[in-house]
Amino acid sequence: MEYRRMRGAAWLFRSRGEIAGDVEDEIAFHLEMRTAALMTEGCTRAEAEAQALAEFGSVAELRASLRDTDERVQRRLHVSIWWDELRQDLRFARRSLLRAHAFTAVAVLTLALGIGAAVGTFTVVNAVVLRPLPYAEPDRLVRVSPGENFNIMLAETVEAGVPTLAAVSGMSQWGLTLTGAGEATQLEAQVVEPAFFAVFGVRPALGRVFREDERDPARSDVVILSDALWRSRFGGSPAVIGTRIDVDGYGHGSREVIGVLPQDFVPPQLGSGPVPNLWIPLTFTAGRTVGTDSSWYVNHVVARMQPGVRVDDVARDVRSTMTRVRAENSHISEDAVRRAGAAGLLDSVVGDMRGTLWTMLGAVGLVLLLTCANLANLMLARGSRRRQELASRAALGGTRARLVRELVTESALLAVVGAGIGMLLARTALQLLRVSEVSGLPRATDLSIDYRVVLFAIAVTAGCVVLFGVLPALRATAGDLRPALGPGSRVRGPSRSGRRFGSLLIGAEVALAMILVTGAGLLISSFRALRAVDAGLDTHDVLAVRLSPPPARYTGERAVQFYDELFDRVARLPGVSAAGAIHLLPFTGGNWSFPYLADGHEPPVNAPLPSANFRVVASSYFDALDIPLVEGRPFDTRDGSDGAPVGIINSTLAEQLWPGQDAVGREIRLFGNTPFRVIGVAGDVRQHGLDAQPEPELYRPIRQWTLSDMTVTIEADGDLRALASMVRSVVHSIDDDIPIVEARPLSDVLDDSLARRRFFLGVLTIFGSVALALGAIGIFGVMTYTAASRLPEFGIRIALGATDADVLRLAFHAGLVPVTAGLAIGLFAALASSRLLTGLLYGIQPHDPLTLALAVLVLGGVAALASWLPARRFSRVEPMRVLGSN
Amino acid sequence: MDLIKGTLDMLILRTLDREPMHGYGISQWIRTRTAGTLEVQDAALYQALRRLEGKGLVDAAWGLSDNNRRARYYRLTAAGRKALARETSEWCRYADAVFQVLEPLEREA
Repeated sequence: MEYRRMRGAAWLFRSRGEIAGDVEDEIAFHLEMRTAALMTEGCTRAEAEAQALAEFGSVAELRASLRDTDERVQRRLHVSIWWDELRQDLRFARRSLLRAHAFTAVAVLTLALGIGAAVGTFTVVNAVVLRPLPYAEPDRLVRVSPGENFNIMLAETVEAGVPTLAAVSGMSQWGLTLTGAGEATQLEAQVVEPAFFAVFGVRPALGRVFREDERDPARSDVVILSDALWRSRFGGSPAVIGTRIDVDGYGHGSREVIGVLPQDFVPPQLGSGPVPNLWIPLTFTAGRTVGTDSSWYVNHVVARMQPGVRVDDVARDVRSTMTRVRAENSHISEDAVRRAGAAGLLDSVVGDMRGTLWTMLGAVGLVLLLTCANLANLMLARGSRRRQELASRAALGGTRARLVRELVTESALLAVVGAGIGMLLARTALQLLRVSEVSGLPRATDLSIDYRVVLFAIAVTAGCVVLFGVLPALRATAGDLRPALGPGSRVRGPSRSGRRFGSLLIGAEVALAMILVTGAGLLISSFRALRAVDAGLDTHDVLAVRLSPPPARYTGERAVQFYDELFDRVARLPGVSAAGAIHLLPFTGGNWSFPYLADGHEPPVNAPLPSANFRVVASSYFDALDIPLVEGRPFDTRDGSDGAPVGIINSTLAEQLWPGQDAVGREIRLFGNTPFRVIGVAGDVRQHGLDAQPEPELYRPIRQWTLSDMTVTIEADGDLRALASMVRSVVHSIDDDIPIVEARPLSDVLDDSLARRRFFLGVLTIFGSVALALGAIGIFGVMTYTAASRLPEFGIRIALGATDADVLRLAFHAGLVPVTAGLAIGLFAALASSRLLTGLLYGIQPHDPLTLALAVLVLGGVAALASWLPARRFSRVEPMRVLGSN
Repeated sequence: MDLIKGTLDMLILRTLDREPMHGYGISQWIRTRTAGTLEVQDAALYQALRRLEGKGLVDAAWGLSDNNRRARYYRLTAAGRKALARETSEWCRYADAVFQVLEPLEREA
């Protein structure tokens, strides 16, 4: 290789002209020499020249061919020299990094953590926000919203009114009970129109999809299974097509299986909830109007746009349709028309998580910057220690470009190894964290590494190399390197500009850490505020058991009898003090809201009736959850199906309807029902989570509004898990076919409702802690390095009469200035950026003074400690030792 | 007399085995050694040199000629030396074989 390099030195950087010249010279030399030789043999010049040419052959042809060959060789040479040098640099970098193993270990580990955190965060952002929906031409999918809760007729009307859509389907989610094939199970059905399958471009793997005539309630007893359900419950047998299975609910006790969807079909999900595993038709009764249809409600309308149509066009058509519908139906509010529109399906699925996720990515970017700052500092210290080595290499003929290249190769090698380990760390962490379950983020189940993640990782790694490799390398090789070869240069520390760079690093690190620590602090404060909120009920020692008796068998009185028997038996279990039930458990999402008209109130003119949340309760529900009755009495045996209709309302509704007056004894009429009399007022409960204000709410007893699906709430002393298994056997001793959907402590249910907040709190707290640690390490490093380099100066000062304390103050002061500046800048940056967290905050402002003050205190304290420790160490010098050594 | 295909490469290698040489020198040496029996076009010679260079059997560098002119000198690489040895022995075996066939014929005639 050495010979090749020598030859390269003569050959390298030959231009095309030079190559042509060389070829010309070689041919000319030959011809002249031959001519001269022939002339000595006695030919005339003309004869000699002619013979030389004749012997030679075609000069022009050869010229062209030689040029061509030489240029090709030259190109190949370039590449091979470049490759040789790269290999040499890499070998050199490897050797020098292995020699400095402590430095290398620290650098690789820091990089692995920094890049790993960034790649991990990006993987989540990619999965949730960036990756397209897994359907054909996903950009054409939209969610159409009529602006309010809507019935099937309204959904149909909107569909008919928007011609820019190619396929439209209403969509609801409904729980069905499966019996007769293994243990009784609650299944999640997606209730859809035949066009649903065209909207998402899915063809059944077996059988067929719905026909239009199967929207007729009488013929709608058909079902399509998911691949997973088909395999787990029906053995994956094609014979299941055409058979009837006992899936009870949504109007039928059993249904005929007509199809199975392919394995790779991902059911579209708007909002949270279990993954659907079967599909049933959304029924449609002809002859009804938007005003009179009280059939099933539709949760969402999804559609595929015609090619070339924009979402805005669809939204405009939806609004104009709703304006027309409102003209014919007075119960539709003006607000609904204003809210009506359309949005891309991906946007609808991701919802408000987009901004929060980008904020998290920004936060991890700050962590990465801190990582780079720390590494830059390490590299600088290493660079100045190596100045002597660099100087001798420069003296031996290494150009600055070459030295920089070698140093950068070293950084790049560190970064690539760090990034590799970081990717592995990220993958492992994402698997261990079970992000999807813990965070409740949509689309987070598949956190695979695709090309976008790889590109991001490459970009991040390259960015890191520039920040911590290129800049310090330029600095390390800057200026005249020769003095470093002189005597006494071994203990030289950083130059004046080197110290300035160190101060700059400290300032930047403190500022970056300040932003992250403030962010984490704000989320912690919010979470504390949230946990302190009174939910209106006591979740302690309460077990919640969700039951789903098959509705076809448990209609009316039968359901009431079942729950009566259950409460009776559960009450006899050890430790149980109260047992009741509610059909929609607080903190679980899901809501029933009905329009009503109350005593002493007139129906509003040209506006919809007011609505209140509606809940059915059984037995001692209020007692079990310690929900206080502010007025009146709880439900009891008097309130049976043959008794007078009664209800209990919450304080918010009572205050809204009859402020300052008694609510008990008043009457409320629910839309289309006989009026009931208010017998009590219950305390407000934060049904939709601690961060949501209580809403007007009314409760009816199960005896007067029979339902089969209820969540039983049992207050008991002792082990709730043991109680759960006892309740399970009690339920199954009454009826084996009643699935127990879920049995867990109510406190867990509450905790789960805070999952997303807790997840982001956890993420930002980790980032904040890492930032704090990185900042401390960085400051400590810079301070140690600068103080060590000032040892001779300290020695002289002490020899001249300065005390240890004076020197300590001096050394400490050097760190104090950049730390203070960093804190100030960081404070401003934190104020500017914490607005991004508004969506995650509760009960405090983004500029919460207490949190900001705490962040300054914590960070300032850590920074002060990190500068004081090295300062103290080096201020205790014995002047003679330091001065003598030099 | 035309050159048998592939022999030119061997001749060049053989020439350079003595000492590094420029293209004209190689041409002259072949001409003198064969007393002009072999007609080698000089253009073909240079093509062959480039070919050998590409194979790594020959190496080139600019130097000064005897009369102090800039000339491109070619020299044998280690690989070239090995190739020469191999080809020489192959050629000799080939020639022997041809002679074995030819000799009796001559006697009969």
